Amino acid sequence: MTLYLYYKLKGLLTDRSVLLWGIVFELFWVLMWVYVFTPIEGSPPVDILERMLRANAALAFSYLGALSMGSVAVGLAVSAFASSGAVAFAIRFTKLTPAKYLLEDFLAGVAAVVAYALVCVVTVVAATYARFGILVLPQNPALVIAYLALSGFLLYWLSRAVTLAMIALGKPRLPLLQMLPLFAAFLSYATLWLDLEDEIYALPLAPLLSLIVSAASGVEPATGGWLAGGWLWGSLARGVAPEPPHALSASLALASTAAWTAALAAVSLTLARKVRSVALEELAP
Amino acid sequence: MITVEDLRVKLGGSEVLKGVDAVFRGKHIVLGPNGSGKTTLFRAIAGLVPYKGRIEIDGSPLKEVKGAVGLLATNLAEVYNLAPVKALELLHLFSDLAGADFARALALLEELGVGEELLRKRMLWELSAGTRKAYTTALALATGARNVLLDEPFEQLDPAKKVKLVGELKACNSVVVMSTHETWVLEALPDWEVHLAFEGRLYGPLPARKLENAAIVEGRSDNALLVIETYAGRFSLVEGEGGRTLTELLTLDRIYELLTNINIKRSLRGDRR
Repeated sequence: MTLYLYYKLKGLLTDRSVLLWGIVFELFWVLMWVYVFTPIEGSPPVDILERMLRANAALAFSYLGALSMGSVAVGLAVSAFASSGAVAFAIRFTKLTPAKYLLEDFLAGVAAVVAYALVCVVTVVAATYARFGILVLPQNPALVIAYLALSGFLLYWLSRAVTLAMIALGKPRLPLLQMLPLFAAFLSYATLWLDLEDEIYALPLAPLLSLIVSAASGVEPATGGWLAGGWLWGSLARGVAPEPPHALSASLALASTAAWTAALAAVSLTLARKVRSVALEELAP
Repeated sequence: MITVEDLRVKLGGSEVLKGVDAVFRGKHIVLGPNGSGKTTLFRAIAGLVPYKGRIEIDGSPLKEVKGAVGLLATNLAEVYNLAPVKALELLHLFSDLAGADFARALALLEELGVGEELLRKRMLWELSAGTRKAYTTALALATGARNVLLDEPFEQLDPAKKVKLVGELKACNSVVVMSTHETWVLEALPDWEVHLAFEGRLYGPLPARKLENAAIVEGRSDNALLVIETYAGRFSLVEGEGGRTLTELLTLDRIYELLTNINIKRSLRGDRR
């Protein structure tokens, strides 16, 4: 390993615009979610309240976390775009060989995505505790982290593919394309209300978010529509296990994620051989 | 040693380098006006732009070079934009990756008027153009690479710092190829070999001391040191004849003014050629 891994990660964790969109913006919505939108009525028994709050927190940090991760992925795209010339030089004339670069850049990118998502988990748990006095830690934290890491893999390759496509298209300043990872996150966010049924497997991030909710709350994963129709809250309030109108298949969800990740990685590696680097002057506003 | 053979680079549909041949061994100046292809030549040698032709560095074809620490360093800013961190941290990063001497880079920067505190606070792209140039030049020299490309290293430096940098360049043991449009360097570095760059082509090399007092003569001269073709007309550089010398011009950008003036005068006289 070289110092590249450390500085790339540090750069992503201290980037002002990523901090603004990945932490501050997300914190506002976490507070809104917990203090304004949480649908707890009356005084349910503690065990029921705890299950309701755990599901509520899982939905919050999965779907708000997706927006946070999307912001980091945009930051990844921006930094990859700006460093294209430096990378072309470094892999030839420094000890950062192509293999080391790919590995260290990937690790730094995934670590940054997971770190921002974990901040979201912590803020949701802390805000829930602050309002209700109940600690709703994820039921299966190891599985939650594993799914967050898979989200990181996916978003990393999405950001690389977007960056290289921008360079290949010869349009160094095409901000809308650069925001594609955030659009993917918002599209997944919409599945909180919208049940896409089997079409959810065609989306790049949405199936994973459903798996995160399930791993963190113990509720069976759904193909979307968590907040529509009252099936979730109604069942939890009655103390019975919620049954989604359309259950998500974990194996299909993982296959969809693997296919998206592999396709985006293949596009990135193919484009990386074809595109030229971008000069600093071309990045100037 | 850097060898380029029939080097051609196209950017945005137009040919910026039109078959450049050169061997850089020792100390070289690539002297040419803005837009003559100097930076593109360096970007091609650094592997930053697609090219046709042959580039070899110390006998290795550029396309096969991977992980070659100490082979080449440059002050092209884009090369140092590797991670979104402060300029001082980038200095640390390149000390690790390229084997740059961190203390020497800091000392050089101090000499060029760039303090450590500024680098601690700012990102590379937040530095002013002049400071950024000093920063990347110091880093390139501090790597101790066997071949060093310096693109316009004197740009926006004050005269005292220019003198300091000239001293550093003279003391440098590497193969140094420096581009500039400022002609005073001919006087300051008389032992260096000079290639003149015009419109994507290189002319020369000639020792700087020969060019220092060479006069610019319109058209082709029999005793010309070099004959150069430009869109604004052909001119010769000759020793011991009247006319404006290169050093009098201060910058090669003024060649075009000179040639255009000559053409305007001729057209006013009604000459046809």
